[in-house]
Amino acid sequence: MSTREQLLGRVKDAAGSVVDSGATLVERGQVGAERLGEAIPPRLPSAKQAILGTLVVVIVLGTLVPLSFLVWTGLWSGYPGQLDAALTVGNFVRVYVGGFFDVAGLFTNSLTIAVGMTLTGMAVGLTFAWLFVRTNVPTKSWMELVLLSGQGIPGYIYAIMYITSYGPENGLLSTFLRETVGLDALPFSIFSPWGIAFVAGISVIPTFYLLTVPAIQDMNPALEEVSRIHGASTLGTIRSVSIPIIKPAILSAALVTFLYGLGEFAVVAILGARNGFDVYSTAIWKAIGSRFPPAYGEAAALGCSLLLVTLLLVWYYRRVTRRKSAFMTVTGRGYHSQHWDLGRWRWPVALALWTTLVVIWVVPTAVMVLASLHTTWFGHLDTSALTLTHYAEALANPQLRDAFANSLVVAGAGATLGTVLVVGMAYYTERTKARLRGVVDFLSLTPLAVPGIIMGSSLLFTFLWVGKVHSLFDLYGTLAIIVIGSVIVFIPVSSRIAVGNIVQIHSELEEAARIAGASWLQQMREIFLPLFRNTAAVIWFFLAIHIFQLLTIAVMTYTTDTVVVPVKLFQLYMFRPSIELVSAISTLIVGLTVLLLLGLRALGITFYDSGR
Amino acid sequence: MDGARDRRDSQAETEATTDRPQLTVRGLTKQFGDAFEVSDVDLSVGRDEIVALLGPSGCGKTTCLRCIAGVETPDDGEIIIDGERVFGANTSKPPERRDAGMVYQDYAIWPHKTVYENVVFPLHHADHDVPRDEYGARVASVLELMKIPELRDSPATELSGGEQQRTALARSLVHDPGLLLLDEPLSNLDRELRKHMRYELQRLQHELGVSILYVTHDQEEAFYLADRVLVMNDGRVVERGTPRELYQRPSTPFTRGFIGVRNRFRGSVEQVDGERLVRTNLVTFPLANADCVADADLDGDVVCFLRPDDVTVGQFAGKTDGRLELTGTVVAAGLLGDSYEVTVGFDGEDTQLVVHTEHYRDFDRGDEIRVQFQPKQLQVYAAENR
Repeated sequence: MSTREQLLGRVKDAAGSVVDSGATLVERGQVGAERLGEAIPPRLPSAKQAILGTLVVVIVLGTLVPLSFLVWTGLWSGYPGQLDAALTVGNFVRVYVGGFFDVAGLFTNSLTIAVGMTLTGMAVGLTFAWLFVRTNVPTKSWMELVLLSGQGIPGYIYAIMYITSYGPENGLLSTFLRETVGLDALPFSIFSPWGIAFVAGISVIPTFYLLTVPAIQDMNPALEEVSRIHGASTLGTIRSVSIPIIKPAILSAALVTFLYGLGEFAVVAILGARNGFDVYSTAIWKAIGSRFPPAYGEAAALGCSLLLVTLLLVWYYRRVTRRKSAFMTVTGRGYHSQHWDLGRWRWPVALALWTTLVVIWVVPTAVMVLASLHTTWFGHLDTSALTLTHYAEALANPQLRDAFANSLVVAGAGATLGTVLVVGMAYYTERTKARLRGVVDFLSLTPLAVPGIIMGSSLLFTFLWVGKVHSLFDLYGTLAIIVIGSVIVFIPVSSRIAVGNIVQIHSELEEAARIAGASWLQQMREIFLPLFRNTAAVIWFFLAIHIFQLLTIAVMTYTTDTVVVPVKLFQLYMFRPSIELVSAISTLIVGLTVLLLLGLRALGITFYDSGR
Repeated sequence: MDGARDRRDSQAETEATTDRPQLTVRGLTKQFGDAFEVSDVDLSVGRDEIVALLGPSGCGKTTCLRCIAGVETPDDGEIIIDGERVFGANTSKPPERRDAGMVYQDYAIWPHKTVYENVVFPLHHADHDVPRDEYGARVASVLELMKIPELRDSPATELSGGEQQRTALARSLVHDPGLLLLDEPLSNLDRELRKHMRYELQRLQHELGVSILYVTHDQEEAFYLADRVLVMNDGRVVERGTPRELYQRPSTPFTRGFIGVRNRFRGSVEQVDGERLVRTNLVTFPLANADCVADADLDGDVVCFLRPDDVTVGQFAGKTDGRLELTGTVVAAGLLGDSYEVTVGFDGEDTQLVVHTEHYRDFDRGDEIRVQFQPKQLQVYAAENR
């Protein structure tokens, strides 16, 4: 081993031990809030035990029960809820041996999407993160604003944007090239597997950016300076010091996007429809939604093999991140990192970044808005065809109004339920020494392994069964089932926000209140909750916006009375191809989201605090 | 088992300054994983007494304090506050029912409340005799006592370190608890402020008459403030006594090392003409003249300690009067706080002697220097196997 490698090893160890000691300090700080509630000898549960216990039970049920029903449905010879049937492996045999699905093809396709998404997200997200945090590239705060606005746009709207901009027939770019250069076809197609993967990847760039920025910011710049002082070039330093130090953060971000990729539904369903390109999620959706009779058992059996892969990945992800770290936490320390001077490359680099942003986000958004203003969109501006009729239709259509009302109910109820659950869970795992907290912490991550379509079908199966038990549980066909599923899907991300922020509130503040005579409930009311109020608001709005936009759960569980906006939009595109109306609705959704985000930002609430 | 219990009881009784101590802790044990954080600790704090828990960081002193406050649950032992058992085999009272005040090292001032709201908190929640309509006056008088009445309505986030410290102290005293727990309350202050607050704490204790358990790693602080000091290491109490006893005749090697006796040299006891002489590489003297801490039948290898303050620089013209005189050369010299520190080396010997002198003298490296001391300033112990 060369001296340089030895030194590097030590740098790594030092960085590791800093992290470790930080962790133990936190642990130490937390020790003690434990078992406070067990003080009263009679075994009546204290308020603390009762409240936290209930929330934890709900989380455990929410993460485990649907998956059990998924497996059961896979092993059941009848429909979910049909009692006169028996356990069987028939479904599995038909799926994996009998060729009910082209499993190998589906797996290859899902893998293609996941790899393409991860590479796109990493290439763009990491480059931006690095240049913004570490260099003096000009206009970066504006660029960051554009990049983070992308977080407010759901995948299915990206797909629509890209069809209007880069689609082969009436896309703006292909029309332009055909009319000017006479080029018949673009050298790439957004309907090809890698094209779909790229568009899906665009939607995870902000996520990748946000997951890696804290690590880059938290890195002590002295580590890089020492490398420079001792003779390494800029590139040499990046390669041998910077990258190895932030490698865990990059790896965890890559794992998260890869998991999203394996379960990607909306972009594939919209863009893949043309060439009959299917992945796991779309195959399951079609097996249940467009077959008669629905192939419940086969769909469940198919989902099981994907779950096996994703659960392994989540287990590995947890090993990489070792709790608390990385996942969407607000960064604490923030070195006054001095920036690397790009010198005469400053403006060329800025220009390259702006070009990327324009091609990826600005043009597609603008073109979608433009398309929504035309009677029919032919890929170029036609002043004679400008109209607002699509907006009028979007606002006047009673079905759309019902969907909008349903979406508001789902978003509001889901955000409230989710916030309460997640804050309680984070308090339980971070502030108590309860024996189950490791299990609960792991369970809060497992929904990451369950793609939305599989979670949606699992809930469908679950309520087809438990609806038989008592009409109280018969939630099939109500908005409640969509609320429940949406909350479960976002538990991993929102619980990381909660955990990351609870850690920042020193437990001594709560202890001091107890010593000063307050009971646990009084302490919660006067100390913890006031201090946690801002984080709770952040979580609530984060959940509200994302649940409002969520397609997968609703598309598996809706009935005619419970159509929500994303489902309506999806149906309009799939079954009544009117890209102009769809663009108008999408523009309204994106516009409302961006307005809401800007309004919250003005109030000081930002979801994507990159620490500046 | 009974024997051990008896020993503890009798110990607790002899330590108590009054009939019923404010705080009694017996056999306190706390384990983290496999390691003992606190192991079988006994201690008591009498009425109006200040007891200091002194030890290096990680010795378990803070864990002890947290167990007493009730924010940590011990694995074993018994805690009695003001005659009431708050922790034992079948009881574990929550912190809010232990009648204590506590100041954290980082003060734990609630950032979303003003100074007034922070300080009035215990009045709203704890047991006390102050009627509700007198809360304002009570808080005002405590802030007066802390000399920060003007900060009453300041937001907590705008306080300096010293102001936070006073606010935390005010909060811990406002409901007149029987027991005050202080966890290194001065360690985050700068040197001058620390000295000042040390004095203020003593003043307060005299004015209010409150029992204090004080955790610190600073022996100066402990010896200045405390009526009694317990030295802790590796989760155990290794030595206890008044500051004077511990300073003058520390009985364990750990305490000697920790409270910083600087000069240490080895020697051996020899029988010469019926008299027992201690022979070291620097001096030889009769054992009877020295301050022999351990048993009288000291024999074989011994270790001698000599405090830098007990050595005088210079030469006496007249009778030596039993003094031991040495001539050496200056190895290093420099100002240290209020005194001047000289390190003296001796030809052909490894041993060096650190000497403190009040008079500033212009020594240079290599200068010849004479030093002397009384043999009774030498503390002789049996050799440690450390």
